[in-house]
Amino acid sequence: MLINTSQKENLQIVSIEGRLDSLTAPELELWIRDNLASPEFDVVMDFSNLDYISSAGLRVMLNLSKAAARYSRKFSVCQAQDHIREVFEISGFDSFIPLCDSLDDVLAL
Amino acid sequence: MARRGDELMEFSGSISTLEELHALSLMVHEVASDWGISEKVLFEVSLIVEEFCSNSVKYGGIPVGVGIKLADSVITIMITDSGKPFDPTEVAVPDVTLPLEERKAGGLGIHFVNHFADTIVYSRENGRNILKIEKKI
Repeated sequence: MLINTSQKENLQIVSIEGRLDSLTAPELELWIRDNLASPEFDVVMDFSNLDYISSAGLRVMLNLSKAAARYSRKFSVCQAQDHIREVFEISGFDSFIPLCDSLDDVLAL
Repeated sequence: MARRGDELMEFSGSISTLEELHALSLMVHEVASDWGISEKVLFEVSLIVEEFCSNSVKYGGIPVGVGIKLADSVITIMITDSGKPFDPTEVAVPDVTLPLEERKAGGLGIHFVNHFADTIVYSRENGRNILKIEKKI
């Protein structure tokens, strides 16, 4: 798994590449703790290069979503492949994490 | 025995750590792609294997045995461990309609497996937990 981050207007973009599973999810959790514990901007996870996510990855998304809400920041996911999007839907996470098709859609939230 | 031509459509391995589980998932992906399984189904099989095996690695008796085979358009996944008796099919599934403030992450794994598998049968034999999961493709 690779984590890259960039900024666009008032949005922090976190791109995850590879697999977000029970092995790699704790790495992302640590990265979030070090970089996004008190998010200064809205946050989007760019999942265009994410191949796989399991419940361990969803747990990290739930925690980040709660952290963002505590700081009144928006948190969303963009460009997730269909099978990734489906697990968000099965989890009911799409009711509080917007799944956007593009960064422009995220900026328009 | 599952065969397509001369090829045996069966895979087995064992894991003791999350690193090995990660590596096994990649191997399963590679092997099962050769069986002509779609990316979507590969993802679902990988998810089923991970959700059960990660539990076994964390709480069960290692090594965890993993077997996957394809025969007559049914993928059969067998996961065995020597941990304490534990039937994951009895784990409470989460209420996926709760709002963010009330959501907890527990139980999502079994929820995914219930969603993507057609049957899940738990048994306890010779001191081992045995899970047999079938998925039609």
